[in-house]
Amino acid sequence: MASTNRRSFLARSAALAAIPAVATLAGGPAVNAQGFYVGQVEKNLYWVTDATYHASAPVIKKYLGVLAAADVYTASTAFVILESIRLDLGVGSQVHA
Amino acid sequence: MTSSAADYAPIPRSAFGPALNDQGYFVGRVERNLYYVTDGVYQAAFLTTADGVIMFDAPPSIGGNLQRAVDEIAAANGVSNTVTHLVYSHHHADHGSASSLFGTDVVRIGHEDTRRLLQRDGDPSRPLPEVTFADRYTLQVGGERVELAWHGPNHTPDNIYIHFPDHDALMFIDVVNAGWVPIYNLNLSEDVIGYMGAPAIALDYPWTHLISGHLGRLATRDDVAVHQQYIADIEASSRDALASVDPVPYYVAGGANFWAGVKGHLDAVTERAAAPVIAKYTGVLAAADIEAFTMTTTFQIMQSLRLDRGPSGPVHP
Repeated sequence: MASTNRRSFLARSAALAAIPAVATLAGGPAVNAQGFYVGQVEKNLYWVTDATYHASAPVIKKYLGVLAAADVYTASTAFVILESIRLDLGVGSQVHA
Repeated sequence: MTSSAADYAPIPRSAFGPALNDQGYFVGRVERNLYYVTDGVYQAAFLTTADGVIMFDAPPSIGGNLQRAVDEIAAANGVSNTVTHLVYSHHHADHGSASSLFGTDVVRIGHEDTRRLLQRDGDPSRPLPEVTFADRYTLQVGGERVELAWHGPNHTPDNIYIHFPDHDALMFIDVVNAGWVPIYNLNLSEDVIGYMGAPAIALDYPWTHLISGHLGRLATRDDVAVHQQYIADIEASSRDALASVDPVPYYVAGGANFWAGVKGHLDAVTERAAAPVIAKYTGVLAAADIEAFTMTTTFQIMQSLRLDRGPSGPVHP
């Protein structure tokens, strides 16, 4: 409840002047048909959040009933693996021309 | 599902960097012949010398604009635009994957663990450094001097301090974001204790300008101090929450699902610890109100307090 109220407050108070810069930060390719970004590698909320969800969802589904608590921790583990694939291995990196 | 800027508090004006040009970059003088390049999110730097240009990092998001920025400055100053050396701050792809754009004739320099990790990762866009060092290395090119040093793991095992003693500047990547909070998990850092101690090491160097690797502007010593306070507040709040949240109801609720009990308990500790920090820094540090950032950073610090520093919990009698 408090979180919802706070978000509503923040949404109302967001200044239009801030939007262009934030849009730059959040920049990258549009979400694809499956609902996640592919290729663009910027450290921003939207890419990681969507990718984590899409990476973890089928794994959770597969291991429910096989490994206890598959539905408790798989998303956060998927996030760490995703970030290693992106930062260590460089998968999805696109070099600006 | 995506969030929009309207979901969050306004970005403090002090968090913004300079406007980008039509090609999507800004190149600015740090001091004399030391420059930095940004695309608004990532930063690199370069030093023009009598014998060519030394590039520091090569973020792929800036990519071809690195050479354009060098060309622009070299033309304006009548100096060579040939990049002869490239220094890796650390091994991560998001700061180094444009390295291969500079070809095979460039002398690449990095920490010995940077070479080891790049060998492990096998990414052709980040050729291995031929020149490596363990603790310290003085890079001298064309009459210029740069001091490279490794003071232990922080963001990554190999993240180094790049000091420009003749340019009043330090380059230290992925720890302090000028005017912004760290993103997830202490800026996706691997060594929590090392990360928390790194800003003090950075401040031990003499400098006025910090090239921190992200966002649009250079950082100041005050930016580092605000970052330190943010992290210190999270640590203090985490200690309080660890001591004050009663775990029993969460384990009772979890029943036979022990991991559900652990999650309920640790999530409650994290939420209690992060809430006052988010409230304090919203409007002070940009993106402090993106709860996932402060929450995951708090979780990492809280776990480090428990696991690295201990005690992890009461000892069974």
